[in-house]
Amino acid sequence: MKPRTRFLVVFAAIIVSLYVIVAIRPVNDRVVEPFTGLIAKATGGLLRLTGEQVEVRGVEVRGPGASIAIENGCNGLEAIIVLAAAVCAFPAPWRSRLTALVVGSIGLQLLNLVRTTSLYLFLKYRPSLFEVLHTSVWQTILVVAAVIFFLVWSSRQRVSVEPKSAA
Amino acid sequence: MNRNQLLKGSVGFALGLVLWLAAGPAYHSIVATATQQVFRLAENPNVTQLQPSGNDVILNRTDFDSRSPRPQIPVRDLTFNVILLLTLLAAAGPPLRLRYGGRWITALFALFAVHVAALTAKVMTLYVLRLGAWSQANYGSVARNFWSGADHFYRFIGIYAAAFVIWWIARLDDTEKEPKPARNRRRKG
Repeated sequence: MKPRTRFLVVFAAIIVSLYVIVAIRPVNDRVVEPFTGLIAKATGGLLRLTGEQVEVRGVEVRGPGASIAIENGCNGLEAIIVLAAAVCAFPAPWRSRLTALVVGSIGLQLLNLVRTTSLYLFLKYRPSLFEVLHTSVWQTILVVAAVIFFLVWSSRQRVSVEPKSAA
Repeated sequence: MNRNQLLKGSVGFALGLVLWLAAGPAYHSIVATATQQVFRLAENPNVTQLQPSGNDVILNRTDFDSRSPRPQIPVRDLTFNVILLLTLLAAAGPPLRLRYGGRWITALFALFAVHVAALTAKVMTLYVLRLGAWSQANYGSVARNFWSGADHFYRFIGIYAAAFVIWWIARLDDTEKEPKPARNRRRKG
């Protein structure tokens, strides 16, 4: 099998497997929901730092004039799954893959916090922009960030795998 | 990934966003028409009618009670990955030259086919789950799980994975990349 085809087959298999794992109700209830609740708490904390008076209940961030619920699709898991599938499908040492997964996931979650915080602020102060930012712009930025991280990481793997030319 | 690619990616992102916002209603009308043709192939009699309405599609079966409300499907939520695909193609895809035009057209057509499949799954999800006793009477648990699973998978992760896979296939790999033109070296006389 060509390396390119192999990458796609493994990528697709990992995407479907991770989706099935995340979609199983016990995993959703015991892992995804509490994780999303943590994102809501962090979003509330960031908003309080900016002077907003908000309270967090479960996955909801409420304040005077705006209220958002952070749900599946807003918790950054989709970008992490794309990154995980691409990194695992790419030929590289497992240690390097693991490092990329950890560093990339942390980076994506930090970016996602910027997304959720900014979406609350847009809903409150520029509600006309909220819908397009929520449904398309931020979603795309997050996945593009995951792909850029993957491209940078994979190009470094290639450099380290290539044999050094004789002097 | 260098500065030039980041710049190209940003242009691709902006272009994709503007195209998606400005040409959305026209594009969604084409997707709705193509999806209706898919239902024409599978249905007998042909009862599914998909009427474009801005960025939505109104599902209007000819056998619906004329007094019942018509379900409305927001197609925008299914097609915004065109922004992602254009960003990836612009940043790290085939060069924008006539020679590679086929790759660009094939990639965009593949995404169009994905959008038709996504709308088909969405309409089928409405049929198998949302029409009360009619859904229960006409579809079994296998159909319910298959179509609702396909729709959920696409909306959660498939929408991004599809754009990624299309870009990955369209991009040039290392063996296909054009060699940089050699500089003319002047010989010292």
